[in-house]
Amino acid sequence: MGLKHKLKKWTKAELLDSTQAEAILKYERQGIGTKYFRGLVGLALLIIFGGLAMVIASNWAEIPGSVKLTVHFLLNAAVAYAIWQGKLRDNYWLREGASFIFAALNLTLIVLIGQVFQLNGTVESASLLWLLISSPFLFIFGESRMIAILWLVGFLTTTALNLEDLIAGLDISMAEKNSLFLCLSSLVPSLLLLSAMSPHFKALRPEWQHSYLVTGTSLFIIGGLFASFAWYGDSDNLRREFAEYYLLPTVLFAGWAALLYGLGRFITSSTYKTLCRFAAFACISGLIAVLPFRPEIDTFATVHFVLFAALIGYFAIPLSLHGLVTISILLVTLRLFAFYIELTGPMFAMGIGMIVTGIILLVALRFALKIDKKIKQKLFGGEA
Amino acid sequence: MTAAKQMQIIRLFCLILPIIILGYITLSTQHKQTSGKLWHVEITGYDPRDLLHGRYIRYQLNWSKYGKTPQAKEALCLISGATDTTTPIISTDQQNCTSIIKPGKNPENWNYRGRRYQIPEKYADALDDAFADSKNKFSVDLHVHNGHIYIGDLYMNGSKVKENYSNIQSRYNDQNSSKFEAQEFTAALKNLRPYVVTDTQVCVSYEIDWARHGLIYDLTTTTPDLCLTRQANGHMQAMPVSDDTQSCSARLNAGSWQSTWNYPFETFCRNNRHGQFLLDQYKQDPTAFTAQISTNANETLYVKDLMIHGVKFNDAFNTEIKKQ
Repeated sequence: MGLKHKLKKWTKAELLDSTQAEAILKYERQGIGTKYFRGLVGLALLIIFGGLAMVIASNWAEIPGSVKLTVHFLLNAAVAYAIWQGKLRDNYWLREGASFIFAALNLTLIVLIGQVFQLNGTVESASLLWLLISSPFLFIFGESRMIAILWLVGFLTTTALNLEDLIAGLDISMAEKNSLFLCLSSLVPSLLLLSAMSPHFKALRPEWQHSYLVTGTSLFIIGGLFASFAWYGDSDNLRREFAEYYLLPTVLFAGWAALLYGLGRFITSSTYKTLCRFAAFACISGLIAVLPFRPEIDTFATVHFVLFAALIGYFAIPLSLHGLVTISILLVTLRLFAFYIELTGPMFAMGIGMIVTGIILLVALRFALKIDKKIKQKLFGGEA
Repeated sequence: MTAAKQMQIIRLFCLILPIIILGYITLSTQHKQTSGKLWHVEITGYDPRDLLHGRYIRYQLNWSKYGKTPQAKEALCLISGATDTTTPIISTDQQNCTSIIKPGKNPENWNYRGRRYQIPEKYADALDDAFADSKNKFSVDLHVHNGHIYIGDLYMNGSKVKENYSNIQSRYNDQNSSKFEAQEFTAALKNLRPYVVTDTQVCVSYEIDWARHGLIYDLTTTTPDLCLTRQANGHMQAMPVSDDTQSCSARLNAGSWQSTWNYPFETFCRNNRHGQFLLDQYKQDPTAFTAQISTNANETLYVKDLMIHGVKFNDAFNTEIKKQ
């Protein structure tokens, strides 16, 4: 359905008045030509760069290393100049697009230096160098969500790759290494969440702040869900991995839970308050999984997962995150289905078993959708 | 200076910071690679065979060729040879070294076994074959700067590889072009082990008994490529590939991970009545089983079917059903 037709329909339904509809149509008509033009220019540039890449790739071995490096440095300088121009002219997309490309080019230049000089560098060290040299300009020039996400992906990847590597190089016992790793990695989601709550940060870089908030919360969701799988492992694991520090995970998660819950009491913003409380519950989910004397019952993995998934839905309601409620219901359904597979594993290997399982999954999904609809109708009122 | 001007300077600094740092790394590495003492050192594959993963060769420096190597955590002392100053000799006298190579924190400097040499993708296959060919000798230039190694050019039989990519490619691609036709053979089996997977599924794991086809080789040495010939009575004869003059009906490549023709555990599974038949036949006579194998132009092996008394499994099953 075209925009003109839609606007007519909305005007008829008294969602818009005719002046607004005309203004929208006028604005969109102006934009359409520019959008198509930009799209075609982008396509043309893509074809040119694609051709260039193919020419370079097929003759890559014959090009001397010094030439490759010089050209790459010149390319980096040209893109850096484009960022500068984007800032001076206040051209949002030139600045943001060039920042993205500059960050990518920094990474390819690091790889090229390694190739030309046959440095036996690792992915860990390359990503760390990239993060160190790219973070300042990304933060200074990049204001869009695209740049924020790029930085966050780089930051999380680098942290994941380097943390273990850095700790492994320390001259301490394995239990101390594991304890240090757990303490430092548990800092990441909390720091992301807490820094996103800073009003200064929100004023300075609203898109970055939002991305921090979403990433921090997502890490708590993932952490809380994955903690449930610890029930499949044996509880002696703590003694093996942490030796005399076997109580550290319990203390750590309990501490984080208390801290985040306590913080939620002092925060005035209802969104941040809810997020802090949710994060505290995610830490409790982690705490349950690492309790030193917990019973070894696999079924608790399902119970734990289902309860935490339900908790996600519960906290999504005050945040008006309808999609998260649906995801929560879907997670519960799929986990229960996985539990069914765990119970009837050998049957699943047979033809009839697979057919029955497929039918059960279809029925379960239909049931889940119905529940989702009902819950939303009840909670949010009107159409879900 | 106004705040706006200061901000401009900060922005400019942040923007040129990556170029300055990467430029410094490039120039300092270039300096270290050209200013340190040059040595010419032979290299070998880290694993017994070709070790090309995508676009690099995995290798280790073959220090044992130049004398007795110290412990992994000790520094390596090199002195120049009498005739060729780039050929090192390992010395135990740490006071008079021409170059000292530090062991590194996690001993990963002179004795690092997983070194990689980047090579162009276009010539990767040819270099793969060249590196696996024991007739070739590979070496590298290395510079020692402040106790660290900086790798330079790669050599094959004394010539720079980067100047001979085309020659290596034409030589090894010509060899590769002599492919063998697809062939089928019957292989003897050993170590048959039946096991019940579920109430309805039965499997048999087995190994091909190469010894019964005349092949005797030492498991602790490099796995050879295989030359298969068909004898007058149709039986398969297997022997290690020796040279290009050898007359083979088919060849089997040992593969990068030595897991093609000598892969230890093949399995054959069947459900329901077929599964029961498989189990019954094993109980009756485990020696009745053979395998129908096929080789292809890529010199790899596939097991096509399991045979009982020389008859394909399904045919044997159908015959049994008809009898009943």
